[in-house]
Amino acid sequence: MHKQGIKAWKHSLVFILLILCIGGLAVRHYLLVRKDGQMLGELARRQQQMTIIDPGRPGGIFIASGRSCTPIAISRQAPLCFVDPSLAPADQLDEICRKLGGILGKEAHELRGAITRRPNSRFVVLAKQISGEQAKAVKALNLQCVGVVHEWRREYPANELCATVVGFPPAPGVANTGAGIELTYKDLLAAKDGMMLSLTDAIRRPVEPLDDRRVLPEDGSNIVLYIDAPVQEALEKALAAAVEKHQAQWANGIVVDPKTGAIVAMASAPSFNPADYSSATPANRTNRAITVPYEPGSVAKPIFAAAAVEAGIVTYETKIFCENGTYVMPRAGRVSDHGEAHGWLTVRDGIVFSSNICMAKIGQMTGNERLYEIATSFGLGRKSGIDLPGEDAGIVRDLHKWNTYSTPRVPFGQEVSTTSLQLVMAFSALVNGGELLQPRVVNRVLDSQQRVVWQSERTVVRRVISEGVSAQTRSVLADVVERGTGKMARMNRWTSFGKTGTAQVPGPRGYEPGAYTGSFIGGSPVGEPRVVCLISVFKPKRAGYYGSTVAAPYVKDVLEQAMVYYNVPPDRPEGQERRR
Amino acid sequence: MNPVNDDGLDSGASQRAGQGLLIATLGLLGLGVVMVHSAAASVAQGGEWYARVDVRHTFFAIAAAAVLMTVWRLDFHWFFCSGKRPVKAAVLLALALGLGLLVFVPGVGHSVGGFYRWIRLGPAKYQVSFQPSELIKLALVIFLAAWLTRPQVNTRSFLKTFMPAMLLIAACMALIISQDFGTSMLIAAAAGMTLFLAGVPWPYLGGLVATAGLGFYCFVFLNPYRWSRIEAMFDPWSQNNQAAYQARMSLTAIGRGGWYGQGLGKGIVKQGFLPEDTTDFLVSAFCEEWGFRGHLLLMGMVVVWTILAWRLALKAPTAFGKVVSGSLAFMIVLQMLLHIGVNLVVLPTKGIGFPFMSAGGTSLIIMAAATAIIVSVSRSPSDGRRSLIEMN
Repeated sequence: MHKQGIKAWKHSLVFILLILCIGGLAVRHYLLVRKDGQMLGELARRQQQMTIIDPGRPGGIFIASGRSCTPIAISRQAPLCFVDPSLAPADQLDEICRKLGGILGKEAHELRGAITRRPNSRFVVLAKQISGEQAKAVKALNLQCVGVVHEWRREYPANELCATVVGFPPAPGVANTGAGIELTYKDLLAAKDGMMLSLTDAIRRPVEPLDDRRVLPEDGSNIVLYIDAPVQEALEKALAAAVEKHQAQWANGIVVDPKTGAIVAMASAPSFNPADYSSATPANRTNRAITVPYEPGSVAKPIFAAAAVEAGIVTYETKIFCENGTYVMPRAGRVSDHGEAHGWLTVRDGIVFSSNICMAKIGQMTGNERLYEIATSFGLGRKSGIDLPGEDAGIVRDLHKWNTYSTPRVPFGQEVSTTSLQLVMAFSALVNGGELLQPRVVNRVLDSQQRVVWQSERTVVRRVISEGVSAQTRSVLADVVERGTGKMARMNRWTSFGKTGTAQVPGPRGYEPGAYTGSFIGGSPVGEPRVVCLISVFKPKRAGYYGSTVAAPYVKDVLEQAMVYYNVPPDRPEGQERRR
Repeated sequence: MNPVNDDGLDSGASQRAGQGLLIATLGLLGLGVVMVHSAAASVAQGGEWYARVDVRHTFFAIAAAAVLMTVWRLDFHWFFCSGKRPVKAAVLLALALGLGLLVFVPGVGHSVGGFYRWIRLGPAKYQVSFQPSELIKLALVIFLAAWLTRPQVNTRSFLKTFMPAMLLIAACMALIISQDFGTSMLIAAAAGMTLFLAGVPWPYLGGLVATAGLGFYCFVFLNPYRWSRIEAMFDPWSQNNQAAYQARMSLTAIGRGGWYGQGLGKGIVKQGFLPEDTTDFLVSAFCEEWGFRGHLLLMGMVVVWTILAWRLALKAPTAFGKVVSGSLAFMIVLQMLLHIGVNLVVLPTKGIGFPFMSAGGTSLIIMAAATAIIVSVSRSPSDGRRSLIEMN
């Protein structure tokens, strides 16, 4: 047996010491949690939490189409492929790029360049808007450094339809960009981004979301316009056809519901595609119907004539001598009836045959002061306040700048300039019973749950003529179409009214030779007008320049489409249908 | 029946303590499987199923349980103490040292993080790593215990007992120290304990501890890497190196765990922030999920384990049994304490796994075997062999 023997106290000493050490460690743990627990927890939170922005969906813009709405600008999630260069192993970069290149359809060296250019970035976008299959294939590579995220992408499903009204959103952080509804209502359309807090692992991948700290995104509001898709389409086709046939610089048009002031179509040609707005010229991106003022010419005649009738200065049946085509006035120059010689004409026929001399004489009877009042009360030379950006006020000069030359010329649309919108609203006032209305583009605003949060309402700016004079004016304007300068706008099944206009374009020195704005403003039906349509064609070079030839036939096309779309019962007696 | 039972405890009590130790060990193994699964469920998963830490750990834990439940039935008195010299123990130690040398043989030895601690066996895809230092730990203690309790030994002799033992310990440490400092320190402590329990006069050992302390100081102080680990221990927030980072993350995990823990599987520091969370920092990962409360429970299990092993060591019928079970139990508990100490940042950051729980197949099986030996040697030698012992 062992000589010294094994002493039990040694064992006991050792094991008691060990157990004491365990106790000591327990105390250490206790103190650690008690003293530093909160600080350490806070540190952990800072290191291991990350905020993930949860982008909300921007609102859409819709136009009416029958009883439903057609999206004209919407946001959709599109996958995007990115690389985190800090996680990309340098020796495998070539192979990664080769694989990704195959999936994304790009050259490997291109991708490699993009990655190596920004080695310190954590987020290098390789391809935007890739397809679902590509996203799947990228994910299947199972590479730590490559990821797919989704971003909201603005889409314009109808392409160019309604482009000038819808516009395009302002570029983030760049001043003076954006256009149309996208600009005016950018705050309403914008979504409020949500926020997700998540615990992350060491390579910043979310591990566990912290649901109690989550902020849900709020989607943007949706905007429904008064624009009616079929009418808008008809107008855009008509404008494109007019520009094409007459080699015009541009054309614009508006269709308005005269009873409510709702803009049911508004377009400009040539136009652009909002999805690719940067490739269009600035001129084509503007909404010419509200941003470009021009001298209206003869389309302004009925405004001044009706106001003179309202004021009791003349009636539509008052006869005025039209000087057989040339009227020379003291200190007011010479006014001609562009080659036609009229003798005595009633005011009605003065409008029907568009006699400048007739209007000049009415102007002389009315006087500058009253003419100025008439122009401004009809909204000429003033911004209408439409909710679209870039509206021009047009020009009605201050009264003290008017002279004896102004008196005969303003009534036939010279010396003032107006936008198409002002003209069409003034014309609506003539035919709707005499009320000048606020033009409206936005019908209603819906929140993300499609609840109506704002509804546009008919707003009367002022009464400009009485209902009686308005009714008389409609019959006068109907005569223009039936037997006057607007015959090209006559439809077979519906009655219509309208007024032609051919204005010279003012240049730096007097009027530019050979440059005209041909316009036609018309509506239908005569009894209770459903729509009023204006088309202006700027500087037509071929196949005529008169409003009656470059604009009236196109207005007729639009009106016909509108009558069909709005299901207006044909009101022209069968026997009066004219075969062309 | 119990010719050399100093404490006069009956063998029934010894049997119950042995069963208790086995059950406590199985409990720790089971908890280890749960925690390794939880800690491994993080960043670096993927690839072959066989390469996954949690899958491998499960297999090794099952193997360790099997070792535990079979090996304790073997008679180690007979195995190691038959004959005048502990030849079988010497062979085992020689084998262990031979394997330890293989670590440095190119093609067989395998390094992780620049340290050659493993040898690899088997086909490329399904390789098994073996860590010889774990075996050396066990074999050295067994050999020293057997050698110091042989009948003719004079434990008080400086030249005949102390010096050869010291040389042997130094040789074992020298083999490992450059690759695995922590394990070599552990080996020194366990071997020193064997000498102490076997009756080597404590002034020798005291002198040795003083010398070792001086050597340790020089060893650490002259190596910036090791010194940085010491510094990191005192203020891990003041510096930014690997050791300090590990210490910080360990504290962060413990702080996040707080009193009651985040709940099993809800740890976040294990998600790639805390390195070695399945091995050297397993208790940190455990504390994050189970909190101070859970850690108390774990330490309670450790205390129970310690007390059972202590009782078994005292009840061992032979001197060899007392020394070997006392030393092995000391080694295991010390390793637990060092692991917890590192995790609580009261000791320098050193790679020491938690026995029975941390991932690492060799360690699991060797620790299970060591426990089985503790249980085995506390029993009376079987009747057929008793004559041999009495003859001694």
